[in-house]
Amino acid sequence: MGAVHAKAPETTMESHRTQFEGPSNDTDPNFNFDIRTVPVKVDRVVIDGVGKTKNDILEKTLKPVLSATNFKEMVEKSTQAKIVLEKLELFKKVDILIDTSKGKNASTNGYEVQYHVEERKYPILNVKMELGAHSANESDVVVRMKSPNLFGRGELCTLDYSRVFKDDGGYGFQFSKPINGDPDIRIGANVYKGYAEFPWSSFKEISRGTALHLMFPTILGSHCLKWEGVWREMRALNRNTSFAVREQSGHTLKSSIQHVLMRDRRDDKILPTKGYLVKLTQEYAGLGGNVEFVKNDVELQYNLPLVFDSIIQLSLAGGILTKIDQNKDIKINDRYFLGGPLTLRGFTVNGVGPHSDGNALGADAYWLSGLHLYTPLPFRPGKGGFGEMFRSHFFVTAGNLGNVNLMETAKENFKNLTETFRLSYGLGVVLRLGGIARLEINYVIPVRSQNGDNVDRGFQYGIGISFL
Amino acid sequence: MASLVGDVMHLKIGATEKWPTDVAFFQPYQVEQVTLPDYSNCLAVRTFLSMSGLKFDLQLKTNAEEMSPSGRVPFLKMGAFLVAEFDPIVANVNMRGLSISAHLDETERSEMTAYITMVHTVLYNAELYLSWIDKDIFASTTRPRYGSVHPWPLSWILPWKRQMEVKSRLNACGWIDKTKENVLDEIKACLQALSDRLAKNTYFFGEKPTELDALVFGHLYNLITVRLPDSKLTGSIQNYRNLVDLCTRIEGKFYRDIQEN
Amino acid sequence: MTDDVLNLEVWKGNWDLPSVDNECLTVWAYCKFSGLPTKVQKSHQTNLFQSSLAKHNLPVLQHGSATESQLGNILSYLKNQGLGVDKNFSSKELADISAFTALIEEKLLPAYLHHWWVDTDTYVEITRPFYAKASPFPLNYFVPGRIQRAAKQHIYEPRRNDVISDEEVELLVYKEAKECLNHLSYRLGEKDFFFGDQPSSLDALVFGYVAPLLKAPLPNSQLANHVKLCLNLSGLCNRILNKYLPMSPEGYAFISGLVGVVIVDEGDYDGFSGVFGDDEGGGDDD
Repeated sequence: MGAVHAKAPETTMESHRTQFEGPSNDTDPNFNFDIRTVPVKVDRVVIDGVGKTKNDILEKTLKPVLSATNFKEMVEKSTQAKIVLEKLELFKKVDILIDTSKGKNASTNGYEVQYHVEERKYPILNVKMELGAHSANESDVVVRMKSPNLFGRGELCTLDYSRVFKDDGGYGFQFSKPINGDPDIRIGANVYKGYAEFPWSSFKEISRGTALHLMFPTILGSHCLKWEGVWREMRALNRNTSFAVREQSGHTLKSSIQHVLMRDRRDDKILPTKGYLVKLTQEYAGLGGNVEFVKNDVELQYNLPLVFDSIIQLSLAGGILTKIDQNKDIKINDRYFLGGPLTLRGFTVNGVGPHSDGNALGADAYWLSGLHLYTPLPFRPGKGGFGEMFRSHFFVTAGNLGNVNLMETAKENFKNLTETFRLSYGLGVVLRLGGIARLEINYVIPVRSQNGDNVDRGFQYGIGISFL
Repeated sequence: MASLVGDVMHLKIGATEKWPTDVAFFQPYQVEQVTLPDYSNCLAVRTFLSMSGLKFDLQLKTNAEEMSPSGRVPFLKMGAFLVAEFDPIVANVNMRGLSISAHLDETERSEMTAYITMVHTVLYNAELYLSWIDKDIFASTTRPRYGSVHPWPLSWILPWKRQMEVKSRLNACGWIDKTKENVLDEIKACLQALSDRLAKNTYFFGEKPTELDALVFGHLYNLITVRLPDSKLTGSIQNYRNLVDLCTRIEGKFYRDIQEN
Repeated sequence: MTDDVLNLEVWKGNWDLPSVDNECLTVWAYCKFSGLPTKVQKSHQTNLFQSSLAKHNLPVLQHGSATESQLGNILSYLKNQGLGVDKNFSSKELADISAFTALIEEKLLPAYLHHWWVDTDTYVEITRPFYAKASPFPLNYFVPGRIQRAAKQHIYEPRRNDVISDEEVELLVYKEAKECLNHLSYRLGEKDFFFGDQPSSLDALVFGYVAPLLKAPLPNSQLANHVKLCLNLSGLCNRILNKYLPMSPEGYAFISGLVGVVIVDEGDYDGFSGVFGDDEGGGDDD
């Protein structure tokens, strides 16, 4: 039997396909069946091209390959090890080669699994224009230096420098490291300084902070536990800033602990066709500092595929912010805002809810729901290629933003939040931008709005990384 | 000293409006937070408003400095308009036809402006120097007071940051190279000039107080009553009898108003 | 006797002015008012080099073993030595001098500095060429820029805050400067000098600012136009020029052994000053 090359499959474990190459393999239809159940013994696992990567992490990752007893198992285990190596970002490239073992110590059915790897010699440097029409951090240029596998055990280190249109820029330094060579359990730390302007509320903020986080999986989903300490300096944006916003200017120090549970079973983050998402966030601020609150957020999404590549998507999000000290108001930079071309469509960015002299003040609680029907573009131009970046959609969005009044019962508060809700519907085109953002051009008709809302009827477009 | 926000404001307001009824006066907490130079300015403006018989509602805010359109205290909120610091506030009152120095002729008004500028530059810079540059006073008084309303570590960072700003300002006007003795000499020279000008008059310009009297009171009353680590300064002020008498006179006549407000 | 001579080093003159620098003019005029024996030296190479290294600007006054630079220091030195005309004034008048000096430094100086050193037209056409020529190589490359940076800091730093733009600072400083000139004009009134018929350091100070604004060919100068409207201030300036610092070409005196142009200017020696064109002054520097 000649050498068998087992090429690494490109898909994940669930849809496992192995492709064989060799002069004799394809001729005999029974051969495939046979070879999968053929007993094997992995004599050696060889890894070639290692420089700074430490042996202990490689041994731990590759050891399971040695335990394979048949050919199928051997291929699966070596592929799984490859996936782990890739998730740990140890190497630029990983190739697998399986060969019969040779030499005098070779056992019968003995195989040798070879990994050909290439390490990164230099940090990755990239310069990009950052998109942020929806998010508050509208950076113009971001320079990022990324150095994966810094000390040989999968440590990831990144350094950012951003320059916004105005002179005040920001920087960030992140470090994270897998624990015990497990790519799903990571511990990390970062420090940053950021500058942001919030034109809908007419204030600006410089934040300087540091955070520690721990990511780990459970059967519920992936968890992220984070402590963050941040000093925020808030100032009025200009002379026309309303006094209600101006009087909140000043320095705050927030020290908070946050837990995020995410269960993402969608096939795509931007334009999913099936699956669901559950995301629960809890934040407690008040471990030192002078900001105290409890914040609970939830985000749900369900995608139902229909005929003709159409998808029904139902999304629901909500959050509630609770004071701890009743005499201390929660400041504008911790409150909720609602509205915009990618969330509650038919309203300007964060244009829903209480305002003072045209400046959005935010509120303690919100809910938002959306029902979308996504279909391919009419007549399907560019089907299977370019056209897959586009979808047309029909949507109905509804939501509300309001303050919770402690003098009233939970039932009354719930009634307030549901009675004064905002509603809009429309249709438009969605464009996937890379793997992280989307662009939408919609025609929207707001149906229900409240006094003080900034309604944006008609054509509306938006780019952003968060949407609903 | 002057702030353009105030300046832009009077163009908007015009001279026709009388004193609004909802004027609010913003300053930091007096007992535990405010620093020496800021308090002199707050006291000067409050005295000026009392002399003018204008009512206001005193609002103590820990973040008054950050709220202020010029970044300095005190500031006034008149309806939707904000005016910060002594000169723009005086100009605003004058624009409304409520000036307390309307009886002065042009020469006297020029002299008053010159003395006001001298007090601003010499006494204000000297107070900045003493409270932010002098190591003892900074460590024992200014830093704890300025930082008192913030949690650690902001209670250290923010005074340090403000100290950098003060250094940069004093550097621009050449005060940073002075020694403490130089600064005390500057104060004495300024007080000497004020004392010589006041001579035996009731107020600087006759029988009626003007904004100069309010400003001098704001600084001197504060310098006399403040407890600084060394009492050299307070002692040297006591030598200018007529200035001390002026302070007593203004305190007796207007201080109750100031406190009531 | 030589100990009593004041050695004064100043920037050289132009446009019918004995010096183009306001502080130099002030110190020079004040020395003349006081009738002190003064030896004036114009942008001397070695001294300039030293003073540049020591971060000091002209004028520099040397008297006996003492060396003082900067206007305020020189005036207080003279006062402490019991020299100068200011000692003849009453305490109230001296108080007024202090107050108006503060007014000028706070309100007029920023706009004056802006006009000469920040305003692009004036800086490129007049200020930089003049100071570059007056400074010897290689200082001519550094001196104008250094003074410009210091001027910018002086103008913008104390007025800097979140909401004010540089353009608004400019509007503000020019507005204040014009108001300051008005106050000076009101204070001077119809009198010959600020305190009657005898000049004081305040007259010297006002002269220092007003003379260059009146005499220099400044492009679009709102400040110069405003000074011209204050007739009594320009009158004061011409009175001082004619009486104390008259222009007389025969007044030059070249002293061998010194680099640069030197005028010996004894106090009791009448009509003794010089007009210096760029060529004469700059000739030795190259």
